[in-house]
Amino acid sequence: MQMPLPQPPLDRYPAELLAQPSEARLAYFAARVVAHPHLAQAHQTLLDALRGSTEASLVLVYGPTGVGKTTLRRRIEQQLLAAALPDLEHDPGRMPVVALEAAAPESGQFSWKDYYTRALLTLDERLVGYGHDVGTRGVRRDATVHLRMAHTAPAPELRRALEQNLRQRRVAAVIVDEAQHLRRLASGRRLLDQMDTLKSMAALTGAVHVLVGTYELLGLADLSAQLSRRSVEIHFGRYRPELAEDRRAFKSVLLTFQRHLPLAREPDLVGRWEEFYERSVGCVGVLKSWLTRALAAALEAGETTLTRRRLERHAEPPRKLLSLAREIAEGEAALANGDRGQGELRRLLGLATAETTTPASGSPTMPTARRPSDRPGQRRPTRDPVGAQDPVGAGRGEHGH
Amino acid sequence: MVTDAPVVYLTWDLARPTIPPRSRLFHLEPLGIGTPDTESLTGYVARLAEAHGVATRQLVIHEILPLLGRPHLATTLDPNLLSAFWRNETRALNGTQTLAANLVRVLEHLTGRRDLRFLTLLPWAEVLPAYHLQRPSHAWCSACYETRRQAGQPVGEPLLWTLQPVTACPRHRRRLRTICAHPGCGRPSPPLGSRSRPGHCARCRRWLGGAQDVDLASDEALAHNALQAQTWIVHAVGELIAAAPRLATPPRREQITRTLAASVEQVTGGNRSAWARRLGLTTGAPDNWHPGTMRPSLERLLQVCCALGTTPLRFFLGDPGSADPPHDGLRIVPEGPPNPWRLRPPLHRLTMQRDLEAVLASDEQPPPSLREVAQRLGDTALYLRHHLPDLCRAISERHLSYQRARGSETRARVRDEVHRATYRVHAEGRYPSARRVSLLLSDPVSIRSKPARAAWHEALRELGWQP
Repeated sequence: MQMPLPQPPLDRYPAELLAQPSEARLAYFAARVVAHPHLAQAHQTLLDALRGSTEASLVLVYGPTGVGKTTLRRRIEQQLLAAALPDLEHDPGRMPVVALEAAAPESGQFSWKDYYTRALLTLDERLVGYGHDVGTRGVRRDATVHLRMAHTAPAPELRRALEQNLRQRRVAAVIVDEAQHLRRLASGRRLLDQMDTLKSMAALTGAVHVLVGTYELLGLADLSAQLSRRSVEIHFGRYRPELAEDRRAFKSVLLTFQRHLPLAREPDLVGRWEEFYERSVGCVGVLKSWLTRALAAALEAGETTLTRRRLERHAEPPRKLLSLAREIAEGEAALANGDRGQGELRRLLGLATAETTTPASGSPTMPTARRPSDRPGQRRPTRDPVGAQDPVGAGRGEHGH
Repeated sequence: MVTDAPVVYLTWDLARPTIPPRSRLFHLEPLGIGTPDTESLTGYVARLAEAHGVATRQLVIHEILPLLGRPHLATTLDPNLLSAFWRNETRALNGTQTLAANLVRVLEHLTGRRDLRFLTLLPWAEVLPAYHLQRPSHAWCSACYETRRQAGQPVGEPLLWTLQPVTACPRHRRRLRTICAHPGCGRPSPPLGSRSRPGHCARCRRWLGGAQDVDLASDEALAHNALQAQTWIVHAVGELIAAAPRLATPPRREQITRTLAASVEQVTGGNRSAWARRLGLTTGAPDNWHPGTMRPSLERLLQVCCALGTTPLRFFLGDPGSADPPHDGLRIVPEGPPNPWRLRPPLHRLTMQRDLEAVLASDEQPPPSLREVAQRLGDTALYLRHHLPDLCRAISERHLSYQRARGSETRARVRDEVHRATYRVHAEGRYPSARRVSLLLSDPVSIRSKPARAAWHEALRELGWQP
């Protein structure tokens, strides 16, 4: 694979940047993408899956909000484009990668019609919209040749148009961001149909479909045996403070950001890493947007460094972080539950189950479903001793010991 | 062992690489380039439309005609312009002339391809005259269609089938069809029509393929001689089509003259008339070809090449064949009935004079024109006028004065009608506009005529609507 541009390894911002206007300095920092270990690893696994080293037609990338999934998507898009460059020279009709965002359904039900429409618009298929006898009913172009889809355009026709386009444009990968919206459905049976639709489209067109989303994507690939055989799951998780390696990685990310903050006086972020961890729940994306906001304000105010007060003022409010942390805890618990399946597998296959499986080490388990015997008002015994523990189970927890 | 000291990570640049502009339409690969089965450009247009999931009409109207500089064909209210395009012009799209060159340019721009000229006869534009080159309608071999569909191959329209001298498919030993065999259709189609789809009738849209082993209709079966001739023609023309992409430079017109001279020298020692007689041509043919102003039609070229034991491709590349070709009695003769000289019956001036006088004497109403009389007598007006000018003039005069009288009657009637209609509208208390008046006329369009306008203005003045 061809790398986009040979870039000199910058370990800090260039000195001449300080002389430039604040917009340029902010833009410099905003454009820095730190190749931290989780991102690099998820990126490599995804790249391998797309290069065809596995026979997957569906790839699911899940992780918490703000961990850097969209950055991962952009990086993959960039690399697929760069790899296809020599091919594009003699096939100008090709579109190596299509990236789109699945829209949140307003009616509570995911709309395939909307999905196909968005995909077609991303492909900007010129001829979709003309005529209707062998083509797409309900889709037309207005006077400014913008695509207009009538509400009556039937989904099967749109799907056929999309399949034809993916095939003819020789699309190698379709990347669907916010794919958890696919789950917005009334019944589980429909969910399987949902995934089968995507899988068959991938198989028919030869374009690997990459679903990028939150932990809600978990379990989608296990809906049927065939589905799980043709899919690859990639977990893009947060950094966990209880693991020494993760702790070091998080500090390194902080150090990298610290070096690239185009300010006259370098702030000491690494020294206060626990605060940063707490207010970013271990997600680099959250951290980055926090730092960017603080930097913008600092530049505006003409400050020479990032003060503690400035950072404090622009951090996400605790209630937001709490809901984020809950989501992460639920997701990781669900992930851990999935990992426990090995014992059941051995049992099903008739193999001796040597030891009863224990919960995955250190993962904060949160009950995801209530037992039917629970009564309102009856406290669950496991909750009682918890008291001061943070839902993320780390940061402050460790602090407290 | 992991040390706890943090390090500075690399940063990525997420700028997208600059990619060349994407082609507006799919980069659809043409079928069979470099082989005798190269598809035709019109067939490619139909396949392109199918790949995009739209009707050929939509592709042509919205994408092709504007770039061909002829959007008015579709935007005008007159549907006949577009019909005339399908009917009369699409045959030229595979040919050697400007329209083919323009369509190649437009389609290469839209699809980003660079090889579409080989789907036409443009590489041979210098040496092949447009005359008698391509047939006006779509021709096909139903067995070929069926074989390809059953083999799961894309169905195309070979360029070969668009050429006039190719009338049969030697592979399936049958004549090419030009009329749809489906009941209720039975019509020919243009090479490209608004509903064209590869392998389908552009009129009734049904599949044109048919089983290979089905008993052939009598008009499809091919006699042994014809099959032999067609096999040779298909081979020779196919060789020409297949060779186009490999040509370093397209052959020049002068090459025909040079090869011709070499052949005449070789066969009859420089005697052109003898050479022509030997090949079954009119004696003037090589005289016309020799200066290079006229080029032999493809049909004639095939005839000459077959007799000389060469092929058109080799002829264009300078091979005049041999003086005594080793052919096994195979001769290419133009198909269809010969075009005989029309023999004029001997002139019977007296009979003719009697006939004309009889016409003059009769009080036939309306008096016939000279052309009508000539038609009745089975001759032309020019011929009659040449031999009997006075009688003819009298017939014409009588017809003309009748026409003039009819004309003034009509004008008077229109004037009167308009006059009355204008007064009637006025009496209803409304302004007698041209439209309101026209609605009361026996022929509403007649309001546009000069006398009607004059009568209308006059009535308006009388009624005080106009100064």
